[in-house]
Amino acid sequence: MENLDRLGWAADLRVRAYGLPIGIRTDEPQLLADLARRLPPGSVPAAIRRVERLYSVVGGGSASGRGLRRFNVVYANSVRVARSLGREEALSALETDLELYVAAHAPRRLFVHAGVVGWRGRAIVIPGRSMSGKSTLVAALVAAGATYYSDEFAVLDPHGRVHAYPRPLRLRDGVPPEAAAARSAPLPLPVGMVVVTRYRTGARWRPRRLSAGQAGIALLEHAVGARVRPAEALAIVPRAVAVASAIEGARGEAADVARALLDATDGARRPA
Amino acid sequence: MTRDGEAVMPRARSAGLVVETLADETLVYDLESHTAHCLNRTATLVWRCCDGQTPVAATATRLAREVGIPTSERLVWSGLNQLYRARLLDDVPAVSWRARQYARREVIRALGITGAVALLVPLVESIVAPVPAEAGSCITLVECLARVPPSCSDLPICGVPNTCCIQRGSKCQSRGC
Repeated sequence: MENLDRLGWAADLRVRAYGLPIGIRTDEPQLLADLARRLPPGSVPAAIRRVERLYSVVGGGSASGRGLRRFNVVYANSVRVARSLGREEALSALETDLELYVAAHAPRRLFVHAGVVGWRGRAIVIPGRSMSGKSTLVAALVAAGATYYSDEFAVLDPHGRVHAYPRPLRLRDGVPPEAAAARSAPLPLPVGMVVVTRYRTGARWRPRRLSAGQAGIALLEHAVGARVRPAEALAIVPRAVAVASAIEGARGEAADVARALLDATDGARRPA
Repeated sequence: MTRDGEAVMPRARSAGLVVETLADETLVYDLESHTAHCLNRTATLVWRCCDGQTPVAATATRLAREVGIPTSERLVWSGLNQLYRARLLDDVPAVSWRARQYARREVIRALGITGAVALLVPLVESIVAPVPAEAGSCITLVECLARVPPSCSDLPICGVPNTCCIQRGSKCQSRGC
């Protein structure tokens, strides 16, 4: 770290992201705007002297006249997380590392890898790994009238309510609905339904009911900080699923399932 | 009532576990193996009876009374079997040896249990808690190439459609997924 400190740093950012003090410094001031765009949603500038995570970004600069190119190098504290000739690739590595760091360590929050929409005062949470079709289903739910919360994380607070992770919805194929642009963070909601599903070509939507415990284990299976803070995770999850219903099943086309999910959430409403 | 049912008094493991009760189910996190378990109502009752003083036969009687399933030591052994495999019992050789003969599916079939009653048979469901990177949605190509099998993750490569970080030989590489 001392070696890094000795390098010349031209500019820095200090922010709080979900309560965590984060610093980013770079030798190229023109990188700051790009770095700021990659901060987790809700990050706010903060006058903090001491940070828990310090990113050091050594820019590759522009190609020199002799055709030589420098690597773009990113360190998280003293650990190198990226070394690439491509600036976009290096900064993307920083973005991913920072997002996971915040997700794993944010105090009083449990980040669950999940798609989330709001529907009539309740959240529909769709936990799942990448490529399980979460974002597509979230887009279909939003197109059917639900409020966009996230296609990446369900952020649970100690009361078990879901907070938005207002990052624009990203689809691998297709264009997300206009309503999924995540302009501002909607209010936190209690979980109304947990949907454990995966896309399977031609599948008929015939979900089976899950118990609260099974819903809880489905959330834990995708909780980023479960290993880092298991006691906190296990305290939050039961509160999140306490008044929720939960279903599991393979799904076919997202548009066909979205309406059924919204109807099921209406039908499953129970007093909190 | 069997001789084993009277003689065997299993004891639940308590060290290194975080336990949360959820209505009539139980969530358990194992701090050593980083596995989480969901015990249904009946498995929860069986586990609670594992105090080192309650014989299997007495647990069977209690299950029948509190849950309304047939009085059967086989159901208790089925629960013990699953609890043992989930490492939620202290290692008692008599229990481990006996319990392995009582897989849940076998017990349901042997007792002729059908329909909703089958949901009352002891059930322990387990998952492995993810490391943070596994819970994420993608990793960069740089991160992927820096990884060593078996922790390639199989996650998609950020910004590159239809490619994932997959083990190839002794390296992690980006490949179609």
